Amino acid sequence: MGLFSWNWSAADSLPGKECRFYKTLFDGQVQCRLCPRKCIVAEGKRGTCGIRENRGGKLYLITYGKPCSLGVEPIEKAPFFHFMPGHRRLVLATVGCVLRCRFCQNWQISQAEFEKVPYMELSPEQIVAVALKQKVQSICFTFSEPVVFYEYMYDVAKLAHEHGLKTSMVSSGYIEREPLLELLKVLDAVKIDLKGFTEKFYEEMAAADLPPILDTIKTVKKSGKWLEIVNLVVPGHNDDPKDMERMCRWIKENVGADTPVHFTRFFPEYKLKSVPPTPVATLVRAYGIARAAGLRYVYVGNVPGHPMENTSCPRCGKTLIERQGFQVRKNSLKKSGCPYCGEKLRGLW
Amino acid sequence: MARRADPGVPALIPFALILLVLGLSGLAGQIVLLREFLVVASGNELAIGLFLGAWLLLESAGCLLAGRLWGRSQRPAAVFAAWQAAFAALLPAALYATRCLRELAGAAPGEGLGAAALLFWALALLAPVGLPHGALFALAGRLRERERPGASPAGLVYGWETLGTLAGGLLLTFWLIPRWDSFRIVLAVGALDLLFCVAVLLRARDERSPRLLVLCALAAATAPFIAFGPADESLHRGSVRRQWPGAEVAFYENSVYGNITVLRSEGQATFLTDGKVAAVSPVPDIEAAEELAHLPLLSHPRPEAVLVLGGGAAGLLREVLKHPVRRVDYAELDPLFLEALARFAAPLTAGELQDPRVRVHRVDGRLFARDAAGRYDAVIVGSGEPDSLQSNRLFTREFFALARRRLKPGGLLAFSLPGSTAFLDRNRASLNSCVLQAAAGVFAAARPIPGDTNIFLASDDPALSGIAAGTLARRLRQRRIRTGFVGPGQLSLRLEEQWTRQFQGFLAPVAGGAGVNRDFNPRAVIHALADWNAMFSPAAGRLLASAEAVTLPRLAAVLAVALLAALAWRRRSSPAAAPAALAATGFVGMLYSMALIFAFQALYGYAYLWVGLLVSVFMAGAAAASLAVGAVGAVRSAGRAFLFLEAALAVFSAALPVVFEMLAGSPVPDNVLQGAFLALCLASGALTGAQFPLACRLSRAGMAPLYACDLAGGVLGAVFGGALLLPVLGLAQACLAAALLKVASLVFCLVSFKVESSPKS
Ligand code: SF4
Repeated sequence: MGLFSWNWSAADSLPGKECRFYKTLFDGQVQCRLCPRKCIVAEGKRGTCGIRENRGGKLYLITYGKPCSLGVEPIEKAPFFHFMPGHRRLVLATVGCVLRCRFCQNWQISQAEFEKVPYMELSPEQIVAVALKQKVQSICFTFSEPVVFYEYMYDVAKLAHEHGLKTSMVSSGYIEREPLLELLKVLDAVKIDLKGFTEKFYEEMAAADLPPILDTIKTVKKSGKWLEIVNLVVPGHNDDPKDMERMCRWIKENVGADTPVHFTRFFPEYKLKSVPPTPVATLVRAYGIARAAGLRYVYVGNVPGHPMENTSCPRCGKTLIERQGFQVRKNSLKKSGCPYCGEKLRGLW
Repeated sequence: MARRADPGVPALIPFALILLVLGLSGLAGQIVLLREFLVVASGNELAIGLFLGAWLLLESAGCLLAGRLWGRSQRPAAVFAAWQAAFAALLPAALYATRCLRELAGAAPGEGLGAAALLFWALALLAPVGLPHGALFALAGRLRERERPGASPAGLVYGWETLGTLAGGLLLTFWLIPRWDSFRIVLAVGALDLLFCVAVLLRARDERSPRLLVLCALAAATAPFIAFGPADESLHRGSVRRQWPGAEVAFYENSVYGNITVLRSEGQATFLTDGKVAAVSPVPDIEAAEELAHLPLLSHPRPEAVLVLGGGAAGLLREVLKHPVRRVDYAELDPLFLEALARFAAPLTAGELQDPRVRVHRVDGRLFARDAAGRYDAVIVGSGEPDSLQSNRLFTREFFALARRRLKPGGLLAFSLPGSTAFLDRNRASLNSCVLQAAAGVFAAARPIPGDTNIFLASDDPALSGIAAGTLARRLRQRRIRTGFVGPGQLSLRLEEQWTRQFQGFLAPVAGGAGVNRDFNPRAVIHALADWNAMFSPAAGRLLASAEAVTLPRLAAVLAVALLAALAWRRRSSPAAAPAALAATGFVGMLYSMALIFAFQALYGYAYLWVGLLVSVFMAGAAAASLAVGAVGAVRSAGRAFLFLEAALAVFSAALPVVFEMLAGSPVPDNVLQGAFLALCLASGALTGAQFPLACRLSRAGMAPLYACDLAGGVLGAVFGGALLLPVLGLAQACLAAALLKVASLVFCLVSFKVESSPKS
């Protein structure tokens, strides 16, 4: 790969790592307790995510130390807009996901079989060494679904902290409370893809359910770690203004008006080949709904150059961070304050 | 006992006319449904092969079934009329169901379908029309037998039905599709069919079916009112609404090149060609448009003349025009697409297309690149990825050679392919590799700029590879270009070495097997189709990916084993020989027509009109030969003639690739070359068509089962030959495979026939 070389043979030379959250059942079966799917996995089989395997009555994460994606990218691409703007992060992913989103951008790894995808062999120590060598400021677990490579993510994040690096996760939020609380100890920022706000949408478009995700969002907020929420607006599927309004009100009531919310533009992807891109007017309307609901940091995404991709002071309205695509063109924040009116902006600056 | 029909009526409505209408309505249904099916399949060309395969399969099943059930019927006219009426009634229903296909298949609005689902639904949707139409062929034969006892109807039925197909192809392509919506076409065809039901019933006065007669007459009288009245409009609108639920369908029309749909929502117009998003305004995909325009044009010190091939409107042209260009030639194939853009103009599209520096050429991009007089500083391929034979024509080695000739010294070519900074799987890596190798084989420098979309620059100026992000950023500043996405930071991110190394890592393991993308060996298409299947039906994707294992020597070995097994099974006077040879001919016939279209398309582009013409001429050849052989009752030895045709087909198959290569490389004028293509179509049609009536004389199997064999061979030819042999082996080896098949069937016949005794002739 760009930063390291691959094992193209995809031979299983590392044994994986025993999972932390599972229960042994009778008959050699185990029940995974990592995500709300709570798979019961028989001997020799794997859970829905495809990367947790029952070996001799013990559950193993088979992608431990075997990332398939590794690179250095700007944090804005996540998108994280209030987490050290403009910094470079090391991005890391392994194969596997528990959701089945029909519009997944990274379906080649999220929906792939472990054996079909080449990987690198990198221990947490090596990952942190790469991060330090590349002079990045943070390590970000992203692309597929980091929750399902939990143990690897946890060990990398813990070690990264010990070396003064920040850590973040981009996730669907489909995780049980106990592992999440543990994980949050080693993370600094979490971005949750809140894909929609109806059970129907989650069921039909992602094969998941909404309540556990809302719980995750609340738990992250309560932990004090930095939280941003992204909603990809898919025309005709999750763009009902009433649902958007409910979503924005829920966000304000449960995780506060200072949580940044991004409404991003959809482009035909994966299985949704014939769905039109999101009209910019829909995104602008969502922005208006969110602001009217009282949210203070609202963004429009995937429309490069749009003024709503910039960060404005929620009090005086002056533009404080100007963005061009994934780049920060200008950042006028003074520490965390607006240089014009002195308002403190929330975030990890 | 058979009795002759009243001689008065046959004189008015000749039997041949009934067959003509039969062929015409079959093809009309096929073309209309295929086009609609392609829209639901989001333009995936694999759907064409699956659709045609399903159609032929159902036709042959219908033919066989009818042969079994009514082969000795004493009331063939009534049965024929009943089936024809069923076909006429079910065709609009099949069309309506095709438009509701996503809903039926349980897919989300706007979701594509995988190969397995497409095949299943093609069979399910076409069954109500394909089966009756196949049955009608067998029933027509029975009808004739009863009218003229003792005469062999095979040549006549096959010949006139094929002529009807030809007439249908020409009528549909040149006249009906540009004028009428799909419902009007099928309703009009239905009315014609019902009218002929009445005619058939009137001819057979000895068959008493007054109720059926009245029913058909009433339906025939009503259908035109539906077709040309408000009902047609409501059927059309209702079904289109169900096809695009929740969207405002502002435009839905067919051109000779495909379907153009415009969806409107909240001030945005989305333009779809065959169900695939082709343009969006007023806010396009800014990232894609800016990168494809600015990365190449900033790499050039002074781009003045630019050629954009497809995909320019709604974004790309606007970005190109931000550079100090003096002239932009923009080639876009489908005038209906440009018309839709004009009809739903936004400041973006109007500004681009009316800019005095832009000249719009309504022509195929590849042909424009070949024939344009000017030279350019940059040629930008704006049309999408090479996922079809049409789009692939701008990504082959031969095209790159053409484009190179269009460039001024220091000029460059740019195109894009699917990429990812996260991971590039084997299919996409192979797709990128085979196109990159094609470009690298032509230009001195071919530079990939990997990212979420991979942009490729190619030039004879080796300095291209060394241009740094700083230079691009400086030029961006100097040219005072304002952008939303591409800025100095993005340029340096884009050109970081980590991505190039990562890209090379993705490509390294596939480079050997990915091949070089060529006109006559379109590797990119098969990799793109494998990619599609990996999304929708991973099993089919794996099958396609493992298609690489198909080689000519392996095919030869399989054929040899099959031949030996067949010979061991039945050594003498085998009744299976003629049907088997006919099936093999059906296979090579389908392969010929596909190879001819494929070669023509590679050289001349879609030119749908020409595709229609080529197929029509092929059919004309088949029909003429079939009628001629059927009419010459005194062929001295049907067996000898059959064997001669077997040998001729083998030789023709082997010679075809040589002829193609000669044609592609020859400097003769286009019209001579096109004439040569027509001659080849006529010859291959005649060679394949002549065998059917001979087989009918040689075999005791009867006309219907033989027709089914012919069609079954065609099914295999469409699916195995068209979707596998041609893309995987390339044109030359696929034709050689056809030659081997004919040699095998010739040997089988030689051993099996008692040539001397010339059976039945
Ligand atoms: S993490 Fe994987 S194995 Fe565990 S419950 Fe979720 S899907 Fe099942």
